[in-house]
Amino acid sequence: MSGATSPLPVSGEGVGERAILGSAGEGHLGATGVSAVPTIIGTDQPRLESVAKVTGQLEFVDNLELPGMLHGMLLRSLVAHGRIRRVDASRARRLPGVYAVLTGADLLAMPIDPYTGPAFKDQTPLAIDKVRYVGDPIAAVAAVDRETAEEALELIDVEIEELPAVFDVVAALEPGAPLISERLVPAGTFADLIELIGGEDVAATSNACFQYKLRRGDVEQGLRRADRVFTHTFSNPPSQHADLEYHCSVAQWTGGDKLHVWSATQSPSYVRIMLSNMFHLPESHVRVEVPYLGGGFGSKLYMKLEPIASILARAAGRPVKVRLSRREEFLTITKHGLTAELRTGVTNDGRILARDCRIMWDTGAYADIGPRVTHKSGYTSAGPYDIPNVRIDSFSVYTNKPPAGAFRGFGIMQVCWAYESQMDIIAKEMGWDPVEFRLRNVLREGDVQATGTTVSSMGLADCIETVADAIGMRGPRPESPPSDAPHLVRGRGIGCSMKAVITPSAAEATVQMHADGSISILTSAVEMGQGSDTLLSQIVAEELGVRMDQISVVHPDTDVTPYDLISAGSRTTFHMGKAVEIAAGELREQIWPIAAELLDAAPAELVAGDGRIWAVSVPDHALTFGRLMTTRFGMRAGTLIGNGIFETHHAPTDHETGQSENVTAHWLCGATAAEVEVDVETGKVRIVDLATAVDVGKAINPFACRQQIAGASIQGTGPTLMEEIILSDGQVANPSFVDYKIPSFEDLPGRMQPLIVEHPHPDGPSGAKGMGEAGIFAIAPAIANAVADAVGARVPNLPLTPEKVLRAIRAAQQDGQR
Amino acid sequence: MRPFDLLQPQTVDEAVALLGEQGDDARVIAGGAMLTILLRQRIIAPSVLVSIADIAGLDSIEANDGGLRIGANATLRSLERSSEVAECCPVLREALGLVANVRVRNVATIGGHLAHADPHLDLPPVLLALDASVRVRGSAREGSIPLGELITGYYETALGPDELVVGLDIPPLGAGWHGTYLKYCSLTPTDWPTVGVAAFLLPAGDRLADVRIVAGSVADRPLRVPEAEALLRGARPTASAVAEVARRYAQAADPLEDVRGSVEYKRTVTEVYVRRAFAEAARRAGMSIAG
Repeated sequence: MSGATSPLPVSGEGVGERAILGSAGEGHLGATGVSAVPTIIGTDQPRLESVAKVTGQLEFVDNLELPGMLHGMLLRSLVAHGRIRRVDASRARRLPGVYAVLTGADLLAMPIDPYTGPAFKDQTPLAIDKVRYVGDPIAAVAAVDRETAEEALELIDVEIEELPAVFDVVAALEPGAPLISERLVPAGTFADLIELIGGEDVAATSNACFQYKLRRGDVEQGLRRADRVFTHTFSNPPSQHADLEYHCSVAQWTGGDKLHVWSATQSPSYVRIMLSNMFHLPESHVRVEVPYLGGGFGSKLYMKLEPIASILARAAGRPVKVRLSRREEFLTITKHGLTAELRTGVTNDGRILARDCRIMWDTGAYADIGPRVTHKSGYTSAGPYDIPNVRIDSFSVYTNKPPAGAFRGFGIMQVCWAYESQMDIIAKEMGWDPVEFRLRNVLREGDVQATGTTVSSMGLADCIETVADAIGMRGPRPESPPSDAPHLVRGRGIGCSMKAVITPSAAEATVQMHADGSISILTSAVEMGQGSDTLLSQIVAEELGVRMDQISVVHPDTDVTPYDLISAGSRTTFHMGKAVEIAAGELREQIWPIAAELLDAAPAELVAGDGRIWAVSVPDHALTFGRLMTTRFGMRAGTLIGNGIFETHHAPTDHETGQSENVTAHWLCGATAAEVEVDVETGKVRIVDLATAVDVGKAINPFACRQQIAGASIQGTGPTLMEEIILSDGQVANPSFVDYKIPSFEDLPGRMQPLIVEHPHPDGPSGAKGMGEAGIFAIAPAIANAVADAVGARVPNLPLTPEKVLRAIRAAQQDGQR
Repeated sequence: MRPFDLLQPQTVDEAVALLGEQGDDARVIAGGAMLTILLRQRIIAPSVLVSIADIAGLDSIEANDGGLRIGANATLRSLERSSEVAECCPVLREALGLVANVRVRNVATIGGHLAHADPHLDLPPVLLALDASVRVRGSAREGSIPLGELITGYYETALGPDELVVGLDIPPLGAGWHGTYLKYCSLTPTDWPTVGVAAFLLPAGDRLADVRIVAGSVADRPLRVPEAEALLRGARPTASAVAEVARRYAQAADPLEDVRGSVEYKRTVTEVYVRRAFAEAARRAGMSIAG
């Protein structure tokens, strides 16, 4: 708890109570029989919004109806790559009920900067000059209802001259491949990306919009000195976030030059900045509000529908709502497809001597946040291991496909699929136990990671041992196959991974105490199902001693709530949690003196809990916070305010070597072990047992931590076993849940074990670290390794559909017969 | 979804008359489980929907001389929970529990299920094996047609434009029959089946007096291969004979490639599931399959 203002450190063990440390000392307290007050950090707390959510009482953006509001819809390209020759919207404009019809050319005529994108300014709300994928928006309509808007879209004539298109990263990098984006204009928004991309507006020479390089030791020499060298290629297709809630934004112009946007976004502060740039407005004139989100998982980051809703609202002179359909979700943002080639040299004593990684990220037609995915996941693309010689070349590549962006884990899922699959191939070939092989090489406290940053507060070895023991990996094998079902074969597998949290970063919070002693937490953290409202309330309740039911979390409203980078990358607990803790501490500094005077005690002798405050030595004389406020203001009035800012800093990575002594504020990590049953006649994989352990630092709400780990685990089984966006000539062939299947309750593992490991971090609130993504990292390789253990066959390209597994089993059987 | 007129006749005659008047531009809706998806995805855009949901007495489920007489508007859920169905056709009841999910079963009607003629549906293979027939009403016809003649192809039936399925008749299976329905989903259990197999057999001592095997989802209509069934009839079941029957079903299968598998894969799992369904039916009948 370094830097914390709280005089109440949390005890390391014995969750549920905290010792009172103050000038009076513990011995005295013990004598009074009130030696402890209830603590809320480290206790299971139900999520504040759960009941309202499951009874349909929470508001989402799509519930918002404004007087005179219009509905906006988009006309999308049917061509994967082409030059726009003509867009004739005159018939659509004449349709009754239509208030605005816009094309890319209209955007150029408006007093706005239409170019956006978090890494490169390569995307416009409507295509200008060129379309770059099937689904690229060409025109937009705002009409009285969706039916009229849809009818208007059908009246727009589009003429596009087709250009050669490219759908594969390897083909996209070949000389002479069609160039998808002609210029690379860095967006200049995020500190880490400016530093990487260099801030220059340059003509593109290839479809690789970004390359990350890491060089450590001498990889060629390391491979030469190794006893065995293994070379493998792994891949995964693009998949989709499949949030229950669609993207939706409502925009309204007020007072002529003020823009008010309600949006289903994970990044309200960023959206405000970007809309301010687009419309040349001061940030103070752009107001972004976010109610609850029905899932994000990275799909609702940066700008999505906010620009087109705002532009339509301005053109129509009325508020406009734009909401996507499920089909359009598949055309708007995806998880990156990846191809990774790994060369790994090991010594006969079980050490990894060198690893060479060549990784291609398919970022689709627009870069979105692809370059940062490439960069951040690049740090750990060689795995969470202590390897003296590492080379990583990682490319973000344009193709004529729907854009790829952030997805839970920010690329770690994909690279982990590759390196953890290879770890088991190596272990099997060398005759090593896969658990011991990992434990021998895993990064431990004080080791220097491939980037040159020293590892601290990372309990990955602990996670590996926890999950291995949870499914009995080191115990006897299950009977396989059972005598009554000879076609069902069992196996076990493990995987582990680590990630650098996004750095640098800033989070701010305001905590207000009202006249009755109740509390508002003003934060731009987005409650999207991850439980941030509950967690932030717990931190404030702990810090001030107020009750949970006295606290209300004010959801993002950039006119009211202070800046936060994004709600993503497992950063809310660590960053916003700390900002809220600091803000509550600042409020405490104002309240405690009032209580000290009333109670005739020194501030250090005061104890607060359950909505009351008292002097340690006089426990039966307690004051409510409302009483303190009335004393302070002389009547029932007033607001006391505490502010908190929490920033993290980094040392930029070197362009040529990727080295930095400080790439991240902290590491998050997790491990998964799986037992599966494979039907060798159909190739169908059933997960019997799935144990995932995440090092959360300190579990502020263990219940919510287990939910996050379980949720991430289940979500991870989708791209492992069934999820895949199928493209045919660039067209998404399965843009609905009829043909794009996600796991259902009936697919749940026979046993789910979400497990908590705690290695506290000195900078986190009560030692807590980010954890929301870590449960998903290693699901795919753990399951694939279990399948390989069961049937001796391996599928190197996800998902592990029964057909692919069966083909691999048969190929292995044929190899065995030769 | 395009706007449409919703007509709500109160009798079958009225419904038939309305369908006759409206012609090709009208669609029949009962529970709307499938039709609303087609409407929302704009795969169809009729200007008129004729709802038969309000027609009185069309949702009955009655025991009928050891068989069942069912009204077209009976929901799948009501059939699943019906004691008459449980008693007369326990295998049908098992299959009902596997259709989609409970939300779908609560609205989907048996008449709609059959008239939709989607080859991926779970119940047609079972009902075909049970020799079920449907009662049909139209301006020019009122009668009964075997289920095998109702379904004529992918989403195609022998129904004329003004004809309705008004009921389903399942004859008594007779004593001594045992059966099962096995469903295989390659991706998730809530998906359409990749293959679904109904297998029924009638033992006579250690021989098979009769056998019926119907595979769903692997052709444009439920697949029955009489010459393969004939290999088992009158004989003691052996593993090699069952394997041969399974191979013949796989050969006869004519599936479409989709996200659930290639043509080759679907043939493979057809073979596996015909074999497993037969084995399960034999197990229930207390028969052993010789080495």
